[in-house]
Amino acid sequence: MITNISVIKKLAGAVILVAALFTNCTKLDIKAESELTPDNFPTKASDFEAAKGIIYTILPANYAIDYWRLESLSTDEALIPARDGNWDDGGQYRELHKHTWTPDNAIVNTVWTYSFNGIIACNRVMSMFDAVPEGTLKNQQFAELRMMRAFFYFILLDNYGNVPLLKKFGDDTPTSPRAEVFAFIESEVKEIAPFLPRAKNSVTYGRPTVWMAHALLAKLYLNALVYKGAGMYTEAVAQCDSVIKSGLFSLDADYKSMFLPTNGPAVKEFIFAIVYDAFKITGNSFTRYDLTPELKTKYGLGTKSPSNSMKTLPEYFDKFNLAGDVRTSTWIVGKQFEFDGKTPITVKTTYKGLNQDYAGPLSGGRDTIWQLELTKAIWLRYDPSKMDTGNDFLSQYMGARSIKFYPDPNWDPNTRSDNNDFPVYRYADILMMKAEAILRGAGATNGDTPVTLVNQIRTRAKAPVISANPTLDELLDERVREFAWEAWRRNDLIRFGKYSNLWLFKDAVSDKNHELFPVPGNQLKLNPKLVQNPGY
Amino acid sequence: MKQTNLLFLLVIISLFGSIATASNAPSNLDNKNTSVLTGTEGIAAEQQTMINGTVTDANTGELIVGVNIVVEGTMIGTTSDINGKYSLNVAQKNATLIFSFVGYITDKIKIGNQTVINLKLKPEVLNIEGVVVVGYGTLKKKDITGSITTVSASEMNKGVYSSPAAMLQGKVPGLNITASGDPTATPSITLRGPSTLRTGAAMEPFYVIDGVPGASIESVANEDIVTMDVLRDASSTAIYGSRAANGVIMITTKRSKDGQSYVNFSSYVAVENVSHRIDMLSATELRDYLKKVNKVPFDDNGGNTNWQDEVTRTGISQSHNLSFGGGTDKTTYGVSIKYLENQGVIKTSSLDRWIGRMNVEQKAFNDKLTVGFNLTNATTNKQFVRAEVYANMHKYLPTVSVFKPDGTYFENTQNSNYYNPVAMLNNDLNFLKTINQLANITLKINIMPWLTYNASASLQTTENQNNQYSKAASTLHLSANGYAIRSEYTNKSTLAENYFTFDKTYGMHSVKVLAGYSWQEDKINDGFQNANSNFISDDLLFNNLSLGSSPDKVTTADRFGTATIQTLRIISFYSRLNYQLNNKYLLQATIRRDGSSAFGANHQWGTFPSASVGWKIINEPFMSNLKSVSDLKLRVGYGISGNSLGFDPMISRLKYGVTGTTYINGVQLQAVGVTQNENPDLKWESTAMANVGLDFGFLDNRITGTIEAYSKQTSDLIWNYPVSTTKYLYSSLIANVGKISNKGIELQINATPVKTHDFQWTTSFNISHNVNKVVSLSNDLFPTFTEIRTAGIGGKGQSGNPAQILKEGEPIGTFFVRQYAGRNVQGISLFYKANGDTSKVVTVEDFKQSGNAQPKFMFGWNNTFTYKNFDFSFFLRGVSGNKILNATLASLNDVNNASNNNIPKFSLGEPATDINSFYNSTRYIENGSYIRMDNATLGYNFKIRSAKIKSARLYITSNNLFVITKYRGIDPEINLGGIEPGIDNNNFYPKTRTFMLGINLNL
Repeated sequence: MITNISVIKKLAGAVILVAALFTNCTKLDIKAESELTPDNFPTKASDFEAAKGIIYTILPANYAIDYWRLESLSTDEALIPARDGNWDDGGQYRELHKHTWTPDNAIVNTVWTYSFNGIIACNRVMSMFDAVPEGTLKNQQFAELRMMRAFFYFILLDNYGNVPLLKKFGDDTPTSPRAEVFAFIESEVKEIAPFLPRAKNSVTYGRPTVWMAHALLAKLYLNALVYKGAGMYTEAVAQCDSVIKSGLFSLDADYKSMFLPTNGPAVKEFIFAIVYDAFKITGNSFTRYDLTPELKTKYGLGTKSPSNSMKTLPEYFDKFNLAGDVRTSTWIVGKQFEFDGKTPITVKTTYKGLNQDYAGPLSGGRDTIWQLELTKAIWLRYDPSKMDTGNDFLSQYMGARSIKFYPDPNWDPNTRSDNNDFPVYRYADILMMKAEAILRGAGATNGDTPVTLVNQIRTRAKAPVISANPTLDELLDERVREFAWEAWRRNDLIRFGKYSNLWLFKDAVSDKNHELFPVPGNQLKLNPKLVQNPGY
Repeated sequence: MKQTNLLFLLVIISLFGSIATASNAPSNLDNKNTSVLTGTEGIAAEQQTMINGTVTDANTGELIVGVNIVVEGTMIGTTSDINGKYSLNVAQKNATLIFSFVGYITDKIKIGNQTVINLKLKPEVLNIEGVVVVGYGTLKKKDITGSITTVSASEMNKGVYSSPAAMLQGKVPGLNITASGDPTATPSITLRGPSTLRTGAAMEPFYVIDGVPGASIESVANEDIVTMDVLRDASSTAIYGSRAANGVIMITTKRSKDGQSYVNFSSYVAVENVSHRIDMLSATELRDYLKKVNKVPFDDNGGNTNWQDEVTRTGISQSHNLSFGGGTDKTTYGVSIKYLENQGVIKTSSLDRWIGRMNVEQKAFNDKLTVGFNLTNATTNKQFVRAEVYANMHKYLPTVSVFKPDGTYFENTQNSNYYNPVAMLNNDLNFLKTINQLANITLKINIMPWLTYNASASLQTTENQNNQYSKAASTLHLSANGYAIRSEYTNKSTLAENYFTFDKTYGMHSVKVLAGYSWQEDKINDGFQNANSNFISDDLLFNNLSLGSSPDKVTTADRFGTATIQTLRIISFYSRLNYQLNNKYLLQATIRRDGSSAFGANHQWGTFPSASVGWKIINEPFMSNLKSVSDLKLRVGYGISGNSLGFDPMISRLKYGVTGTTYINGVQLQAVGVTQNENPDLKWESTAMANVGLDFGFLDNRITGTIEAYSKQTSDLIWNYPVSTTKYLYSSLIANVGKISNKGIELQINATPVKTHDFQWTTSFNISHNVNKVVSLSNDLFPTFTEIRTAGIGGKGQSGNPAQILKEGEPIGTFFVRQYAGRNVQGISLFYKANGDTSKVVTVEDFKQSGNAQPKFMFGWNNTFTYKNFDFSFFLRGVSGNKILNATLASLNDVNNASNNNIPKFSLGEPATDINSFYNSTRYIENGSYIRMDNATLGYNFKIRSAKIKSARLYITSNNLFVITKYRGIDPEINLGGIEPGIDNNNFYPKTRTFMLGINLNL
C-alpha cells in the first residue's frame, strides 16, 4: 500500500513536471512550409525574375478585354448591344456607347484598378531590388520596371488625366494635375531609355526596349495638345525618326498575318506587343465576342460556341471603302458561305425565331431554312433606352464582325481565350504618327512626307496610293482602316476633336469633360485623397 | 522549445505504442480474468452462503431479466432469470453485491446477515438527465449556472442522417440547423443567430467528442451517442476560449460502466423519395405553349422527357450498428462497429461509411489511477453530383430525348450553362474518400480524495482522397477527351491536455476548481494533386493518370491543386471555479488564455473570462409553502468567447503566390506576386454574451422548463476589406472591423400530461426568438465602409447584381432587389426606380432592401405516447417570419425564352409577352415560414422473458410526412447558414420523404 502511494506520488510529480514544461512552451511561431512569405522569398537573384514576372501577368490581364472596351466601346468603332436583357450587364456597355457613364461604371473602375495594379507592382518589385548594389545591372532592371510603370501611367494620363503620382512603394500622394503626369512620364522615359535593351528579338519580345520608349514618347508628344495644352509635333517626329532610323522594323508584307493566333517575335513591325496564350496567359477573347455560334464549325472552333456580342457600327465599317484593300477582308458581313465561297451556311428556324417581329400567319413548325447573313445595319427593338436589339436570328446577325484577330482553332474552349498576341505599338503607327505630326505642322525629315508615309501603308495594304497630302480627316480614316480593333480609336477621336460627336444610338453631343473618365466611385471611397475629375 | 518537442514526441510515441499493444489487449484481458477467477474459486471452497432474491424495476415494479449480480472485487456472479430471480453462493459475509443492468443505476448491497436480497433497481434515465457535460468535467444539472441543453439519445431525431448534428434539429432552442436531402452534404448550424461574416467552419459550433476538442463529428456513429450537451451561453463556452463563440456541442458516447456487459444491435432499412418537385411543362405542353406564340423549341427531336424523373430515384439506405462492452470493476472495454449506406435521391449521389470504435479503461493502484485508450476509425465514401444538375433537371427542354438514336447523349453546347443532366450524372464523376482516425490516451490520477489530475493526448488524422473524372463525352470539358484529377491530402491534429480538479466541501461551502493547460497543433493539406487529359479510354477513369497525354491542357490549379500546408498551433491555459453556498447560491467563474499562431504578431494571445451566478430559489425556506412548485432556479451569466475557427493560419502574414504565367526571354515562366497583405494587428472575433435563465418545475416536476434571454455582441468582425492599391501591396486587407448583435429569448417546456400504469404521454416544446443586426462595418481605418452588397447570384442579365446587402442596422440576409411594380399594358414587368417612377429597366441604384432571411421564431414540438408495449411519437418543427428569395422560380419563369429553357406550370398563368419576368425582384421574395411533420415513429417493445435478450424493439419511422408552407419552391428549408442565407438559386438538392424500418436488440 505504501509503495502504491509513493508510486502515485512519483507519478504525479512526473506529470506535474511534464505539465510545467508544457507550460513553458508558449511558442506560436510556425514557419511557412508550402507558401512563399518574406521568410523565404525573395532571397536570391533568380527570385527577382519571378518577382518581376507579376508585371507581365498584370499587363495582359485586362488589356485586350477591359481596356480595349473602354477605348473602343466608347466610340463608333465597336458596340455591344443588349439582346433581350442579356448582355446589358448593368448597362456598362450602353453607358460607354452613349457617353452616359458614371463613376460607378464597372469598366471605368476595372481599367483604373488595372493601371494602378501595374504601377504598384512596379514600385513594389523595385522596393525588393533596393538592396541590390548600384551598377549597370540594377540600372537595367530598374529601367525595365520604370518603363512599364510609365506605360501604365500613360493609360492613366490618357483616360483619367489627373491621378496620384506614386514614385515609390508606400507613396500616398494626392492627385496630380494632368500636365504633371505628362511631365513625369516624359522625364522618366527619357532618363531610363539609355539603359533599355536595343535588340529586337525573341528575348526582348513583349518587354520594354528603347524602341518602345521612343514609340511611347511619340504618342505622348502627338497628343501633347490634349494632355497639356501645347502641341509637340516636332518632338513627335524626332521620336518616330529614332525608330525608323534603327532599321530594325519594317512593314510585314502580309497585313493579316500580323494578327494570327500564331503571331509572335517574327512579326517585323511589332515594337511592343502583349503576349497571350489560350491556356496560360489568358485575356484575349476576340473570337469569343466577335464570332457567331453558327460559324464555329467553319473556323474550326470545336464544340464550344462564341458568344456573338461585339460588332461595329455601319458608319465605321463604311470607311473600309478602298478598292483592293486587304484590310477590308478583316471583316465578315453579308451572306455567309463556307471557305469554298459558294456553299451557303444555313440554319433551320421559324419565321418568328428568325424575326421576333414577324406577324404573318402562325405556322408553329420548322418552316424556314435561313442562310446566315450578317447585316451591316443594326436597329433596336423594345425600349430604345435599353439599347436592345432583341434576341432573334436577325438581331444576332446584326453588324459587321471583325476577324482581324483571326479566330483561333486552338483556343481554350472552356475559358474561350485565344493565342493571338496584341500589338500596342507597331511600325505602321510610327509612320502614321509621323505623317500626322507633319500635317499638324512639324517639319518633314529624311525626305518623308505625309504622302510617302501614308503610301507605304497603302501599298502594303494593296490599296490605291495617294498623290496629294491627305486632309486630317482623311488621315483619321486611314487610321481607322489600319488600326481598327487595336484600341486607339478613342485616343484618335479626342485628338481630332470628334469624341463628343453623334453616332448610331448616341443621340446627344457629349460633354467635353467626358474626354476624361471619372475617378471610379469606390476608389474615391477607399482613398479620400483622390480628387474627382471635372464634370462628374 | 526543443525540450518540449522531445517531450511531446514521447507522448506521441507512447500513444503509438498504445495503438500497437491495443491489438493484443483483449487476449491480455482474458488471461487476467481467468487468473482472478481461479483465485476466488480457491477462497470460495472455504465457506459458502446462498443468497437469493428478486430484482424489480423501482418505478413499475416489473421483474427485470438479465441483471448482472457480482460479488465486489471478484469475478463471482450470476444474472437474474426470466422471473427476475437469482441465487448466488457467496464466500464472505462482509461481501458486497453489485447489481447492474443497462438503463438502470448500479446498486451495491452489503450482504451482512441477509440471505434474501430483493432489490428495486432505479432506471438510469433520471441520472443521465441529472449530469451535464460542461467541458473538462461534469456538473449536476441542478448546479449549472450557464445555459446548457442536454439532449439524450431517446430524444434525438431518428432518420437516415449522415451527420449526428441532424439528430439535434429542432430539439435545442436557439440552435438553427438546416439540413439538405443530399447525403454528401453537412447540415449548416447556427447557434443564437449568425455572429460572423465569415462562412464555413467559422459559423459552426465547436465539437468536443468524449473530451477531445475538435474531433471529427463524422467519425461518431449516431447509435453510439448517449448525450449531446449544447453549451449555448458564453459563461458555459468561455472555457473553450477562442473557438467557442458559436457555442460548443459536447458529445458523449456509450461505454461500459463498472464492467456491466452489454451487446446492442440496431439496424434499419429506409427508402427515400423526393418529397416535392417543381411542376414543369411536358414536351406536349411546351410545344403547345410555344405554338401559340409562334415559336418552336430550340431543340426538338420528338422526345418527351421528364428530366426530374430521369435524374431521381428511390434511394435505399441501410444502417447496421453492433456495439458491445463489459469488463470488471477494474477493466472495462467497449467496441462498436457501424455501417451506413445512404443513397441519395439524385442518381449517383451517395454516401457509405464504416466506423469502428473501441475503448479500454484500466484502473490500478486501488482505483487511484485510471488509464484509458480510445481508437476510432471512420471511412467514408461520397459520390457528389454537380450543382448544374439541379438547374438543368428543371430547365432542360423536355422535347428532346435523353439519348440520340446513335446511343450518345443528346447535348446542345451552344446555350451556356445548359447541360443534359443525365449525361452530366454519368459523364462527370466526383468521389471523395475520407479516412478519419482518432487515437486518444487518457490518464486520471486521484492524488487525494479531493484532487484529481487528468491528462490526455490524442492524435487525429484525416486522409482525403478525391478522384474526379470527366469522360470524353463530357460537355464540361469539351474536346478534352477525358479529364482526370486525383488528390490525396492528409490533415493531422495533435492535442495534449492536462488539468487538475479540486473538489471539496467545507460545511456550507462547496468548492470546485479546475486548472489546465492544453497544446494543440493542426496541420492540414499535407499532400498533392495531379491531373491529366486526353485519355486512351474512359474505362479506367482516373485510375491511371499516365494513360492521358495532354497534361498541358489541364489548368495549373487542376493539375497541382491549390491547397497549401497550413499549420495552426493553439496553446491555452484555463481555469474554472465553482462555488456553492448552502446549496442555494452558486457561483461559476472561468478564464481561458489562448494563444493562436493564426493571428497577427501583435495579437497572438487573448483572454476570455466569464462569470455566472445561480440562485436555487427552491431551497429557500419561503418556498416550502408552495407545494406545487418543485423546482426554481435563477441564473445570470456573462462571458467573452472568441471565434478563430476556419482560419488559414497564414492569414495575417504577407504572402506571395503564383500570379500567372509570363513570357520572359522567349519562354513561359511562373510569375510571383503578392497575394495577401500582412496585418500584424489581426485578432480573433470576440463575442460577449449576457444570459439570464430561469429553470422551473411544477407538480413534482411533471412540468419542467427553462426560459432564457440573452444578448450577444460580436466585435472585431473579420472581413476582407478592399483597400486602396496606392497604399497596399494587395487590393484587399483582412482586418477586424465590424460588430454584430444578436438578442433573443428561448423557452423550453417538458411535461407529462398523462401518466397511468399503461398509458403515458410526454410532450416537450421549445421556441426561440432571435433578432440579428449588423451593428457596424466601419471603423477609423475604414470609415466609409457601411454596407457590403453580396449574394451576386447571377443569371440572365443580372450578373454583377447583388441579391442581398450587409448594412449597418440591418440583419444578415437582408434582401436587396428590384422593386416589382406590376406589369404594363403589354404585360411586361415593371420595377420602381429610386425616384418612384416605374420602368422596365432599372439599375442597382434603384434596388431596395426588402425583408430578410432570418426567422423570427423557431420551434419544435415533440410528443411521445406509450401504451403497454407500443410507443408512438411525432415531432413537428418549423420556423416563421423569414423570407426566401425564390431565384429558382424567377429564372425558370423566363417565358420569353421558353424555346430554349423549359418553363414551370406556374408560367402558364403569366403573360407570354413578359420579357422581364425572370428578374429577381420583390415578386420572388416569399414567406419562408413552415411547419414540418419531421418525424413520426411507431415502435413495439417485445417483452421477452429470457435472460438471453434484455430488450427488443421494432419500429417504423417516417421523416418529413408533410410540410405546411406557402413557399412556392421545392422546400422552404433553405440553407440559413453563411452570410447569404435564404436564397433558393437552382442549387437545391431535393428534400426527401423517408420511411424506415428498424430494430434494436439489447442482449
